[in-house]
Amino acid sequence: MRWLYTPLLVLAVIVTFSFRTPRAYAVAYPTRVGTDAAQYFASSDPWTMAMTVPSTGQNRALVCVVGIGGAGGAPTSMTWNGTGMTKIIDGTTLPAQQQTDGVMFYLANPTAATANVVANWGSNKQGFLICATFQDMHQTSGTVIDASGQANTAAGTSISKQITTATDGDVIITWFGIGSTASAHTPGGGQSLIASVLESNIDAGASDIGQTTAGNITTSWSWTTAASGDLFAVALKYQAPTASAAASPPPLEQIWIF
Amino acid sequence: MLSSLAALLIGMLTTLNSMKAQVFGGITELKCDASYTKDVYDTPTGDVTPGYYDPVRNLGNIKNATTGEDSIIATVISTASYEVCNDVEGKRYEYTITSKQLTDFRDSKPLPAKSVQLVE
Repeated sequence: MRWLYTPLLVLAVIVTFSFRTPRAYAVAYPTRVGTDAAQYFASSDPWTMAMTVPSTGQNRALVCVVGIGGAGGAPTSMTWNGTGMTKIIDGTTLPAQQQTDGVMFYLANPTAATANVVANWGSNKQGFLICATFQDMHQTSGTVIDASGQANTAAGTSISKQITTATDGDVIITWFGIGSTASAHTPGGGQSLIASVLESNIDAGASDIGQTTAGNITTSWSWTTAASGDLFAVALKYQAPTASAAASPPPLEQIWIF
Repeated sequence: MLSSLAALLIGMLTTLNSMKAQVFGGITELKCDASYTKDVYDTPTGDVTPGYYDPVRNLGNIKNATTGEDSIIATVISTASYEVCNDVEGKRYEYTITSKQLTDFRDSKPLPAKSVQLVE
């Protein structure tokens, strides 16, 4: 009977491995968790805004973008829950803007809590502050930027910017500010709105979009009332969560044939 | 003798090349990675310039600041899209693009390549 069992045993092995669920390690990208926060400041220093960082997921990072009306500028420092954040984009170093400088602050691995984001300027400023918490974000602030860019328009109704990322799995955060009177605005296709600010002197919004494969990606914003404005786009890198027992591949599905 | 002639020839060619570069400049590829869309008005420039006023959007001034006369009403007649390019020194250039090119760009395709010839 050995002549019968041997092929059957080989067949069993083949069937066993063909039913094995492949490990799905598709490239992902950072995603937002918890509740975003946005606020307009008419004229104040410092700017203070409550922000809740949830305990969801791993490799969390708090990201805040800032824009002010007029000649622009950047906060001298920003803290959350008393911890200093790192300024990773300073729009004041980019070419001249129409309405706002784009500034981004970043805090890796913040403790889950509700606390204040405090932006220190040195003098009263008018502008907006938008913050969001991401999970699966690269935890080294100095190397998170794949690309950054800025575009501006004079009295336009839409603006687009293309950046080129170098690694798979980035999240592209794009934000804009226009000098307008409460002009309804929308992010481009595929972009997820983080928050909007609609005020009498400045309208602003921030969005994010994940990019599985590195390469060119265009982000855009459009609005209803012609106005001059600026758009900024930054790519931040992915950091995969540590595999846990719940995330382990399922056991082999075995079929025995005798 | 031959080496002297060769050196002279090379010197002349170098000088000519330098003169050519000064007169005609070099071709510079531009980095084109942004675009915007704006309204076009029925004014000579297509924009709401001094002396014109858009009452619908409250753009410009009702009175001409220079003459004190009423500004001419400007009306939006169309929209136009532009690609924004920069040279290596950061100088900005803008070119009109079609709606198809804008749609492609928003779909993460590149904008039409542009280059300029700098005259020194």
